[in-house]
Amino acid sequence: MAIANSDWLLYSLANFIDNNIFYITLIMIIAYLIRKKEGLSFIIFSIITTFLAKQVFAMPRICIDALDCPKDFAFPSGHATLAFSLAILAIDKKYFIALLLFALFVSYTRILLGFHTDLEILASLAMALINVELWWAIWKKK
Amino acid sequence: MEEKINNEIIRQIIHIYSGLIILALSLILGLKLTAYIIFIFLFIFLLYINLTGSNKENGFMRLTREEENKIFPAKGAICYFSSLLFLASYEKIPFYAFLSALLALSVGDGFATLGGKAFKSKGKSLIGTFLGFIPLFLSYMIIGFSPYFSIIVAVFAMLIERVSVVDDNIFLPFSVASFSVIVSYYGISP
Repeated sequence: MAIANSDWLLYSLANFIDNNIFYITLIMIIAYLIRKKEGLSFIIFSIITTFLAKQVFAMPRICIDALDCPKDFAFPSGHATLAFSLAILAIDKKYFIALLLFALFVSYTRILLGFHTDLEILASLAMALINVELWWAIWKKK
Repeated sequence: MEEKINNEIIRQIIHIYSGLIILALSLILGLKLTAYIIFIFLFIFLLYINLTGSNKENGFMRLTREEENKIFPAKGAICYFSSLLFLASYEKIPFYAFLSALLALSVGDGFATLGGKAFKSKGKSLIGTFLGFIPLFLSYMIIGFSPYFSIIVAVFAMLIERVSVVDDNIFLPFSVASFSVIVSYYGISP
């Protein structure tokens, strides 16, 4: 019974995170709290680049035949990229480890729901780190 | 000044050797396991950065470029491993494209910088580019690429290394991987 309860909680959280509006709002609020305007612009930049990367690499979802499967491409995972981006924003803070664990949890839920493969999740960390360099190249020109 | 030059040489040696280690891993274990290993390494490296900060007294951070640390601590190393992780995680990538990108990044870029330093050049120099091309071409031949493919991709890699608009650790591997796929598509097989 206890296992069933924990499963229920895990799936509820996973579905909660899967809600794009809720998830992006949450990430943006935390990013703003960490780095104010810079944090917010980095997250918006990450959303745009991840969307573009998905179009370029055009990897179909593994869940393509399922009813609740997201309609966009899979590579890299947008949810995981945003979570890792959030952690990276706090690289010099004490709570960095907590945000990194949050990113791992988000990544796990994406695999749990069957929306992503493990490799798509691994690429998300790379995507988030690459975004730092790309974002800075644009941000410093302002 | 001398310490700065020494650090640059050590940095480039690590740059080249890291690439060779990843090359060995990908040949022995395959791309998927290599991606896992790079991911775990990056994860631990981020934790290390978080714990040490940009403190120059601490081990590896002493070797990082100060001007890059203002953007992100150990930015060069992070970009290097991130681009390789990204490419290794992409299931559709042909293995030869990954190998050509990996060698261009580690051998080509590494030797180009070392060559430039040997001739006391501050920025990217023509002699450095040439000195990067030779070991890159040879390394392509050693892993069994055809001579035509090797020469075309090596020339392209060295041209890209000179004109990188963002960090070459990102720009170079992505450009070379894409270019090698295009070259092979047009009939010059690796």
